[in-house]
Amino acid sequence: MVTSLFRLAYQNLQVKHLRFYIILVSVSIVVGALFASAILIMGIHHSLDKGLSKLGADLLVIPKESLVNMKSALLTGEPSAFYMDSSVLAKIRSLKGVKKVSGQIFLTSATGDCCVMGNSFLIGFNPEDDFTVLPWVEKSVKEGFPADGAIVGAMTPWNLGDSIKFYNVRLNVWAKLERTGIGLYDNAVFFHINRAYEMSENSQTDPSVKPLAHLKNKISGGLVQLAVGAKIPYITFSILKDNPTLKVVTTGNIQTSARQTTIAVFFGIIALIALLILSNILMINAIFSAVVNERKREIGIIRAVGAAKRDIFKLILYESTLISVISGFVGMLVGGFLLRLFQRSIVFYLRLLNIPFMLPPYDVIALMTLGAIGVALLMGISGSMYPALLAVRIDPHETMKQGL
Amino acid sequence: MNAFIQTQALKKTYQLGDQRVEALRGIELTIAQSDFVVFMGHSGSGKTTLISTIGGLTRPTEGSVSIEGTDIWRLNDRELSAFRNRKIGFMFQSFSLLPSLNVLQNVVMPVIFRKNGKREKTDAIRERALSLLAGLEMKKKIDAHPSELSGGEQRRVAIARALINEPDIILADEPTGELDIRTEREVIEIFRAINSQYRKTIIVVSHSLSWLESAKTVIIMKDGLMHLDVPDPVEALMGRACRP
Repeated sequence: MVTSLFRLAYQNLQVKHLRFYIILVSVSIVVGALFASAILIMGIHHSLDKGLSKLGADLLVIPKESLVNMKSALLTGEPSAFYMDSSVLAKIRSLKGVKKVSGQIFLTSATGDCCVMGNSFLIGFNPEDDFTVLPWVEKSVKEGFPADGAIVGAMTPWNLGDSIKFYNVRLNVWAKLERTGIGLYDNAVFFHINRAYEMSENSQTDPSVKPLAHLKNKISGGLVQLAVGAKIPYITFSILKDNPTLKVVTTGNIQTSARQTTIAVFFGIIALIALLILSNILMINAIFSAVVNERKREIGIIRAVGAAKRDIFKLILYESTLISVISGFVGMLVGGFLLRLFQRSIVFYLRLLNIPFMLPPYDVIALMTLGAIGVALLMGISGSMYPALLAVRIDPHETMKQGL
Repeated sequence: MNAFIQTQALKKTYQLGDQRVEALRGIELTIAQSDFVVFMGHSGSGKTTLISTIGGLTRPTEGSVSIEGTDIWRLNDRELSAFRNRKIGFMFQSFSLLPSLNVLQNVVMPVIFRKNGKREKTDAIRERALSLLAGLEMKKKIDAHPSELSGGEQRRVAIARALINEPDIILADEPTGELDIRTEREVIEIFRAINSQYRKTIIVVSHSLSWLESAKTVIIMKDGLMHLDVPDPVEALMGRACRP
């Protein structure tokens, strides 16, 4: 039974079906587009955060020439072809404020190698000083990393226990990482750095593969973890003072760069959505103004039976709020459904743009859901504010006298 | 006479373009509790404006309206709306029901706007509405929407709605307009019963002479002025002189 203003608003919505559906479709399109775009943007940022935070390093020390490639490698999994002497690590380790240093070597992709399928990013690491790879694998604490072991990324085709071979070096898959959205990790094969040196030597004598560089005692980069309170500029300066052929990259810089790329990609979408929101507000305004004009007599009757002006104002806002919330939910479902439907092609195109993607965590999705409903509400309330004020000004006596 | 409703020097002026229309020209009126007053007069004589002013719907240009000692036009919008909701039941010309609500919902609609007192339980409100509708022989049509009702049925629903908050005063503007004679008589009978059984003060505005025999007080309105104690209202309505 209708015994509240809110129920009365709900009841009123059931009369003007066509207008209700026009608003519903229009608002839900905007909310759906907004929700899907937000999921994409947040997904990309989440991928960057999750992937790069797993790096566990505050700084990357790399040869100066490899800077551009390094960023690309981190995001897409393409290897760097520049190397530096591993003795650099000892110098860095001795600096005040440096907590841990670990070297890694990136090998050229092994596409076409014997018994290997697809592209793989080969990374040699040193289990003795490693703090970036083994912490991802729970059993490493108990068992210790075997000399012929391999840790493979989520997107690689191998499973636990598989035997794989690169440059005639056999490795056994010891662990598989969960998906990060970062190409470096998802397509990588991690193994002992000594196996990388073996591969380098083997490649020199194997006529079937393109020889690798001579990599003995070389590394592609050093990962540096700083002590609490250590100043990044000071450490950076100290490293470069000793060896000007190096480049120091903070992981934050990489994230910022990638974020800027994604923001640029989606700027157009956001601008378009902003315009759509504005046009929806104007449309809701026009529709509700027409509704108020048509319902002058009804409003006059409601006023006569005891509704105050603020009740009329609330009644119109309740109606718009109800439509908006329903439209918001429908839009979100539509957005989510379309995102799901086109997930594969979206991820594919993002990869073409060198942008990683994975769905953001559920709490972030929940927040975005609330945000999407909030935007729908904003459109509904902003659009109906002026018509609600018009409704308040209706003179009940005039409407009855004129038989409106 | 014990003044239940009292107006003093009540004036209402409208500005229609360049023209100034004096709808009420200093109305001095006193109505006792449980009176049954019928205002009659030609279109534009000021009848509707007068009951709108008494009912707190249109603000007078000058003068005051006092109901049970409360000068209603000194109340703010919230207070006046609450007063109207509590004290006055309105009934208008045709199409006075909300089309989106069914009969029962239309009847209980004024309950939504109750501002003071304890919130009544939904069941109690429903029972009272059903009881009113039963008394008006409309109980079988509680789920019908206004478009499914005849003119007479719509008036009965409007009467039930006017009574749902148990007001002291019923204000009715042309409650039998556009009805056939038989239905008109039925509606008038209902009003007479409400007045005699529930002791409600009834003020009706109408063109119809059928109200004359039911009313305790007949007031003729002409050019914004009222004419009391008219010996022959029919004569007066036909255009003969009457005493202000």
